[in-house]
Amino acid sequence: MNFARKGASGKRAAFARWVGLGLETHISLPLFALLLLVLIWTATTHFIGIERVAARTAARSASQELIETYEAQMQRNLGGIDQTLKVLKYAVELKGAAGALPALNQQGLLPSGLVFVVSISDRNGIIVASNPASKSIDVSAQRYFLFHRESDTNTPFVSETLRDDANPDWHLHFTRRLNDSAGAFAGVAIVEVDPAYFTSGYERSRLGEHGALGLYGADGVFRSLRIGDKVMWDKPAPKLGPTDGHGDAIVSAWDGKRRFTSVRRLHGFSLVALVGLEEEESLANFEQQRRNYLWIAGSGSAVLVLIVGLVGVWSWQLTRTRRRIRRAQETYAAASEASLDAFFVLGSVSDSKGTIIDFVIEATNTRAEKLTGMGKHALRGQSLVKILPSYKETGIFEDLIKVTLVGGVHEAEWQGEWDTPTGVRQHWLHRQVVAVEGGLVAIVRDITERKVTEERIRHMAHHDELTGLPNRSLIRDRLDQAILQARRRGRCVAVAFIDLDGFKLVNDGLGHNAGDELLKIVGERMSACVRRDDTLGRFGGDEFVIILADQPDSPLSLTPVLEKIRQSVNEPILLDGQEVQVSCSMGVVMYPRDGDDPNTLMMNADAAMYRAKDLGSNNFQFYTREMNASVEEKLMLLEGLRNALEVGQFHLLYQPKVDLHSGLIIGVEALIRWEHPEQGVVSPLRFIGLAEESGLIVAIGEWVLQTACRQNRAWQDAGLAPITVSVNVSPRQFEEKRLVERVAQALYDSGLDAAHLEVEVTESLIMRDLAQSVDKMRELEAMGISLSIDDFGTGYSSLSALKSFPISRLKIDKSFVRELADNPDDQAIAMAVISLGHKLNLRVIAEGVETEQQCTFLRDNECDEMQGYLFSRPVPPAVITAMLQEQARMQAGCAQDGVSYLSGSNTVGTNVPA
Amino acid sequence: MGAAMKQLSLSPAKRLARLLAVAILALAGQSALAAELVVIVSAKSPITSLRPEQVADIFLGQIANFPGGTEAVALDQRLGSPERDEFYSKVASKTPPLVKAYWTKMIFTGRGQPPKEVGGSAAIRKMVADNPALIGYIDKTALDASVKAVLVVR
Repeated sequence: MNFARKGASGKRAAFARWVGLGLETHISLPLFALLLLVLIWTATTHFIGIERVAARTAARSASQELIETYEAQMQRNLGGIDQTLKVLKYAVELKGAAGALPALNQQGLLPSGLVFVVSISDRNGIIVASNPASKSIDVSAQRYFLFHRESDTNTPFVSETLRDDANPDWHLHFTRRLNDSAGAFAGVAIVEVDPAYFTSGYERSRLGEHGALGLYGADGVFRSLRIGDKVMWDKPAPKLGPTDGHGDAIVSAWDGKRRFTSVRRLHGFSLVALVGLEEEESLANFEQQRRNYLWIAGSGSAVLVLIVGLVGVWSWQLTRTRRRIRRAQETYAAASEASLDAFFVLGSVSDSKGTIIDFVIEATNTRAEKLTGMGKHALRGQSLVKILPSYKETGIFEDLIKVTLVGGVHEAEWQGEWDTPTGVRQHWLHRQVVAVEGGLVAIVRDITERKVTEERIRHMAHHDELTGLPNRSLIRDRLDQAILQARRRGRCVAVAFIDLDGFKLVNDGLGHNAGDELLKIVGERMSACVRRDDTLGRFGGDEFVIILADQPDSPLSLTPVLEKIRQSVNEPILLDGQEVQVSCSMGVVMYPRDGDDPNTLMMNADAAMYRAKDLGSNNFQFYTREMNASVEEKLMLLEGLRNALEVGQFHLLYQPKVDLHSGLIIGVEALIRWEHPEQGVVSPLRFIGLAEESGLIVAIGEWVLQTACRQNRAWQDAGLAPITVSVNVSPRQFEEKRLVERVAQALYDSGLDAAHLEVEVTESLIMRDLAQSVDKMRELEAMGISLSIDDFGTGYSSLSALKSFPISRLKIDKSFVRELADNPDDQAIAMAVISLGHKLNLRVIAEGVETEQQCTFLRDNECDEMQGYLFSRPVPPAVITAMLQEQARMQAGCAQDGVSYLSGSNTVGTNVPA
Repeated sequence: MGAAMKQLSLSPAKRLARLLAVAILALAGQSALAAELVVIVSAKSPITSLRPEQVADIFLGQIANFPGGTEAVALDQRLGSPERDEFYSKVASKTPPLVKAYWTKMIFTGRGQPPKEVGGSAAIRKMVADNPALIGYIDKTALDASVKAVLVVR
C-alpha cells in the first residue's frame, strides 16, 4: 500500500469535493457577486480618486487662471491710479494746487467721480481741492501724510482702509508726495477709492459663493477682501511659504474655510493680490459626481446583492427541493425495494383526443422483476400488454381507466396469466391501484399461497382430517342441497348411515394408529364405490354417511351400490403386516319416503342402522321394512350371478339368421342363458339388468365373447360353412374403455377371423355417448368386425348420426314385425327402414319373425334377412351344427337338382331337437 | 460746473437735523418736481424714438451705437442731482449705489467708462443739440427745437 499516494489522492478527493461545493450555484454565485462587488467598489473608488485629483487640479488651475486675470486687472487699475497720481503731481507742479483739478477736469484727465475721489492736500495737511468736491479737512494726522512728509520716495503709498470726515464711506487712499520746485515737501496727491472697487471684478460663476478675492499689504492685512457678496477689510492675510500661493488648498485665516489660494505680488505697490476658490464649492461638482458614483455603485451593489440574494435563495431552494425530491425518491426506492409487493408505476398513454388507449410501465421494483421474470430495464417503457397480454380483454384495462379518471384506490383479485421468458405463469394476484398524476401506481401481491391456504382451511373446515372425506357440517350441507334439488325435480335422495363393526377391537388391539389406518383404507374403498355426484363423508368415530342424490324412487336401484360397499368394507385389510377384517352395518333411508327434512331422515337412518346391527351386522337395512324384502331377493340373485360366472352356470344359445331370398343360414346370434341351481333358468331380462347395475356385465360379456368366438371357430374347424356369430354388447360394456381390447383378445384367443364376428349394439346406446361410441365402433370396424344396430326404431336416434355409424346391418325391432300383417303403420315403417337401409348400403334384417305372412311381406319388400321363431328358436350349438350339416347336404343335392332350398315350409325347425 | 459746496463741521445733533430737513425737502422736491424727464438727441439726428432698454444700454455702456449704426455717446447730469438719480432709477432700474457698483466693476474690469458728467439740463441740451452722436436726459421743461425727445421717462 503506497501511503503517500493514498494521501495525495485523499487530498485530491478533498480538493475535488471543495471544488464541487464551490461550483454549487448557491455558493459560487455569492462568491462571484462578491467579486463583482469588490470590482465595482474598487473601480468606483478608483474613478472617484481620479475625479478628485482632476477636480483639485482643475480648481488649482482655475485659481491660478483667476489670479492671473486678477493680477492683470489689478496691475492695470493700479497703473491707472498711479498714472492719475503722477498726472495730479504734474498738474499741481504746473498749475498749483488750486488750479490743478479744474484744468485736469477740463481735459478729461480726471477719473470718474462716481468711483474715485481725487484730492490734494497742502504741506500742512489741509485738503485744498477735491473732485468730486467735498469739504476741506485736515489729514495731517494720517499715516500716509506722515509717511510722505518723512520720506521722499518716488513710490506711491497705499494706506489701510480708512474713513475721514470728508466722506462717510471707507476708502483706500493712494498717495504720492508732492514736491515744490525746490524739491521740498509740498503736500500729498490723494486718490481715494472704495475698497470694493478692487474686488468688483468678482464673478460668481468663476469664484462661487464663498470664493475670495482680495488685496493685502505688506503688513499682512487685507485692504479689500470680498467673499461672495460681502466686502471686508482689515482681515489677516494668510501666511504663505515660498512654495505656497500657487493654488493649493489652505485654510483661510479670516473664516477658517479651505480655499485653493493663489497670490501674486503686485509690483509697484507693496500689495499682494489673492484669489481663493473655496474647496467645498470648487469640489462641489466633484462631490456631486462622487455622490453620483457612490449612488450608482451603491444601488448597483444593492441590485446585485438583491439579485444574487434572490438567485441564491432560489438556487438554494432548488437544491433543497432537489434534495427533498432525491430523499423522497430514495425513500420510495427503499420502501418499494423492501416491500414484499410488486410495485408498478404506470403512465397513461392518450391519443390525440385525450382518451386513454394504453398504459406504459414507467418504473418497477425488484419484487416486480421477480414476479414478471423480467428485469427493470426490460420492463421500463413497455406497454402493459407485454406482461398482461390479454389485459384489454379481461376487463383490467377498463378497470385501470376507471381508476385513472375517477381517482381513489381500487382493489381487485384476479387470476393473472402472463408470459415470462421462462414460460407462461398463472397466479392468483391481488392488486391495489391508486391514481396519481399522469397515471397509476399498481401494487400487486401474489396471493396464490393465500388462496391455497384459504382453500385448505375451507377444506379443513369441511372435511375430516384423517380420511379427507367431508365432515359432519359439509354432509349436512350436501344433504340440504340434495333434498332441495330432489324436491324441485321430483326425485329421491338416499342416505345411508354406515357403522363399522369390529372397529373397536382393532383400535384396542392394534392401537390407535392402526385404527386410523383402517379408517383411511375403508374410506378409500367406499369412495371407489360411489359416483362423483354422491357424497361419502365421515360422521365421526367409525361412522360414515353416504348421500346418493337424484335417485329414482326404487330401493332396488340402490341395492347394487350398497352391496358393493358392503363387500368392499368386508374385504380383508392389511395393517402393519396383520390381516384384519371388519364389516359394516348400514341403515338406509330415502327422501321423501322416510322423512322430508334432514333431521328426520338422519334419525331414521340411525334407527335403520341399529336394526342392521341387531340383525347380525354386515348387512344393510332399509328403514321401510317392505323395501328390505324385495332387496333381499335381489341380493340373492346378485350373489348368485356373481357366483354363476365362476361356476359356469351360463351357457350360450344361438338363433340362426337366414337370408330371405336364399333361405340359407348366414349367421347366428349368441344369446346368454343362466341356469340357477335353485331358481332354474333365469331369464336374461332379469339378470342382464342386474349385471349391468353391478358391473358384472363386463365379465359376463367377456365370457360371452370368448365363448361365441370359440364356438364359431369350432364350427369352422368342423368343416362347416363359415357363418358370422353376432354378440350383443350392452351399453355398460361399451362404456368400458377396454372393450375393444377384450374383443380383440377374444378373437385372438379363439383364433376366429374378425370377419366372422358381428357386434350388435342398441340404438339407445349409441346416442348416449355418440362420439365415444363412434370411435369404438370405428376401431372395431377397422379390425374387420361388422356392426349392426339392434332394435332399430325403438329409441331416439338422429338420422344424421346414422350416416356416421360404421355399421353394416340394421335390425328391425320385433315390435314392428309383430303386427306387420295387420298394421299399415308398422308396414310403412318396415318398408321405410328397409328402403333407408338399402339406400345407406346397409343390410336389413327383421327380428322376431314368427308367421309366414310376416315372412312373405318382408321378402316382398326386399328385406334381406330374418331371424325368429318361424325359422328357429335359440338352440344349443349342437343343433346349429346339425342345421349347418343339413344345409350343406341340401346345397350339394340342390346343386344337382337345381331346386332352391327354401320352398316355404318350416319343417326344418321342427326337426331339431329342443 | 457748480461751485464746490463747503461743508463746515457741525455737531452731530445739528447735522442730523440738517439731514432730516434736507431729506424732507428732497422728498418734497421730488413730489413737487414729479419732474418729467425726456431723453433727447440732436434734432439733426435721424433717431426718432428709442425704447427704455436701448437707452439704458447706451447709458450703461453696453452698446455704443444707435440702432442704425451711428455712434452713441451718453451724457450724464451732475453726480448726485435728482434728475440723474431719477433717470437711472426709472430707465435702468438702478439706485445710485447700484449705479456706482455697476460702474465700479466696469471701470475696474476695464470694460467701460461712465458717461461724461456735463452739468444741468441746459448744458446737456446745448451739447446734444450740436452733436447728433450725443444723447442725454433733461427736464421736459428744458426741451426746445434744437433737440428732440426720443423717450419720455416714466
